[in-house]
Amino acid sequence: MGDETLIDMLLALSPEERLRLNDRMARTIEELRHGFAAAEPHHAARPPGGERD
Amino acid sequence: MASPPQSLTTLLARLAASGTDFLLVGALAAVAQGAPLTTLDVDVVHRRGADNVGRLIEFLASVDARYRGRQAGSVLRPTRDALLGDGHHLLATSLGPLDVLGAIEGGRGYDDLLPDSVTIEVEGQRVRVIRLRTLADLKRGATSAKDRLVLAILEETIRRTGGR
Repeated sequence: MGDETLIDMLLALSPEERLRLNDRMARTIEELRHGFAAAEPHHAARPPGGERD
Repeated sequence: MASPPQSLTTLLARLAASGTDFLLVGALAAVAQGAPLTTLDVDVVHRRGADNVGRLIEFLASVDARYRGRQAGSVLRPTRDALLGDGHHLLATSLGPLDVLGAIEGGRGYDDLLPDSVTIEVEGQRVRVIRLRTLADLKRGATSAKDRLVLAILEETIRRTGGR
């Protein structure tokens, strides 16, 4: 990939495209959290979000 | 229990379409400007005038906004009076988490931050976003390991954009 970095790739996108990429990443993280919580219920105690991310 | 489908992009665009004056701040502001971060919520600083808070309250009702972190069955919704103040309102909505902030670090509110913003387009709506350089300045006084890591990412992104 030469010297192309993740930042350079992101800078080549429009702001809206970057936001949509974040949406996809956020969904993946949520799916992982749900999957992990289902497999390991004792780790599922995290509240739905009472602090700033 | 699976979460409903959420889109922070659509949440942001709908807030803009409501006519509410606000600035996008926090990690999503950095994401919009190319920083390689991922965030699970939208942070905004709103203009705290009565007319604007009226539009904001109407929008929040339309996305079923309620405070996060409460016990199941205990629903608390933001009020007009609360949104006129400079506090932080950490909300869940039908489109995803939304943090509505009356002021951020140093007591800076909408009018203080507006000169340090740029405009982007999201789903056909114009959204004002706090500049990367200002975001980095806000992080400089932070002491947590997470904030120091984010600051390093912001500074590298600024460097690669030519110092915007």
